[in-house]
Amino acid sequence: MNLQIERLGFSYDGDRLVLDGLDLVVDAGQLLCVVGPNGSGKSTLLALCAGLFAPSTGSVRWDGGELSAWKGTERARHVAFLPQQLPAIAGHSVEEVVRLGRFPHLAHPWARLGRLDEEAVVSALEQTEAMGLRARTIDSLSGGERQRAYLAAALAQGGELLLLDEPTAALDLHHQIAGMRLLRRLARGGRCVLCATHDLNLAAAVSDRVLLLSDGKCLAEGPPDEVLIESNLRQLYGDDVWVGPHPAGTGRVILPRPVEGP
Amino acid sequence: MRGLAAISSGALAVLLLAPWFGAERIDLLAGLRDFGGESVDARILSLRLPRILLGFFAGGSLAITGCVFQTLLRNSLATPYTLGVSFAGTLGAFLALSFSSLSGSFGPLRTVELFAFVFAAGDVLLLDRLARRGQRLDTHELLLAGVTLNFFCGAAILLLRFLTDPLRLRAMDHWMMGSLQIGSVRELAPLPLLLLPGLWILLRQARVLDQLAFGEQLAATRGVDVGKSQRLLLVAGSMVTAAVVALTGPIGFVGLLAPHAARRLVGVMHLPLLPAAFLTGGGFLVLADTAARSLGLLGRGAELPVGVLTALVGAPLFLWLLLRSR
Repeated sequence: MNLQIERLGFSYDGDRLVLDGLDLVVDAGQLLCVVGPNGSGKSTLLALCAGLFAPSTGSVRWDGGELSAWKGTERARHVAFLPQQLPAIAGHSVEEVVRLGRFPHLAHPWARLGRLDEEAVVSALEQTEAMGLRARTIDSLSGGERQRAYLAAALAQGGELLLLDEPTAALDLHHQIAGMRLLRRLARGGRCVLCATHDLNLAAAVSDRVLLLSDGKCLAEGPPDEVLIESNLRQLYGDDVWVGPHPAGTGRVILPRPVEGP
Repeated sequence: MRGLAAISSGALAVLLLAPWFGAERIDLLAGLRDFGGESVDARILSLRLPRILLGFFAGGSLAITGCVFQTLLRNSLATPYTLGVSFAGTLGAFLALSFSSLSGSFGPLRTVELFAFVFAAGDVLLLDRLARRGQRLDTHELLLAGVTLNFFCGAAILLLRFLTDPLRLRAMDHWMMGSLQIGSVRELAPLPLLLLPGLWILLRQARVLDQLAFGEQLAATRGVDVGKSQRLLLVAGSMVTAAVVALTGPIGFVGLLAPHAARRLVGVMHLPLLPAAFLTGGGFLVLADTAARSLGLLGRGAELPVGVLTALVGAPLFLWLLLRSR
């Protein structure tokens, strides 16, 4: 199984291309981080992979099937998506939110969750360390806790293709590391994981591959050590980027250069 | 489930007790034994029972639609009337009441009811047209367009009242205040046809509403056909409201109070919430109408309009619920 993206182009208004001629193949078992400045097309790429929009040009295929042509529930059984904006709807417990992730698997509109569904919910809560939160309401959680709850819902949905838009943005360092380790474990378990992030160091530390996007085009794609190099990052973020060897082991560290002057 | 059981018990108790009370005291058992006969008890009961049935279905339908619109519009103050269905229906009814040439009936519906239904349905079709963006509805624009149509229909109603024969104003006022008074059980004939399909559609969408509550994007990635579901909910909810407005006139506050009260007892998941809201709204309206029937004798001999009573009782009750939630 793999995700195949061919000559992908997309425009919201029919005029400006947000993505332009993108080619990419990600196999099941891999974690790919999508990196780029604001407005480079990261979220749009994930939305297209989630089948939320049909491509303007080219195609997005999962396991050979064109994703935007699949029926909604069929697609939702294979593809789970964690968006950037996570609503805090009053009154829903975390467990209810996670159970809602099983919606595509229900046989009819009033079906109750079966044994497999219940197991998927418990497993998702355990994997995201959210079991202790399950009775709390989603609007009473901190941003990071809410992110874990929604990640649990995405895991409970059970697709082989997992798409995450800034999943660690609101997490403290411990939960950032735990979250990215979890994504890596999920990839090792056979899922194909795409994660849009601004955190270059986490992308360098945990991803199998990195895609650098610049104005909707692929600037570079490959293993983090080959892609997250100073020349590439300067093209994306300007000259104030410093890339060096990680002082505690292999890999790289990416830092802003010290700000000088007033 | 305990919340739903409590609401069901309450609604059942109201339904069982309501026939005993009214402007006239009757021997209920004697009336039931002679149902359809000529005794006073039987004749009063033959008016009272269909009225209770109408009240229960009207209140329940307004409550369920209020609940659906609150989720669809993602606005906890939304009611079945937010999108202008009530005022559009009232405008249609007033047109029928203004011109004597329009009096009469069309199949099981009187022209007043027919005009109310057609105008309310027209409001929905216009809204669908105004707020549609591709396959989906822009819920923000839907709300704005609905409120604008409300103002427009309100102004047209005032103009019609200004221009109409003063002798007809009393009938208009009476209609405007909402009433469950019906002449016979035959007047309930359109009820199943107008209400049940819409209610069935709304109940079948309960789990879809759970998804839509979290936004269109998340719902779409869980497999919900967002555009189709939004339009189905808008049309079904509005048709149910249009039918209630056509049969009873605009009865306020049930569609706001009942969903919030039901949420406190059964939570926010729509599968228990929609039936719970229906039972709460139905029970509340029957209770209010029973009080209106019974209090009638304390006043001028005329019945207190139930639409006035639901707002007078409902508003303090709603405020009390708000205070308790702090």
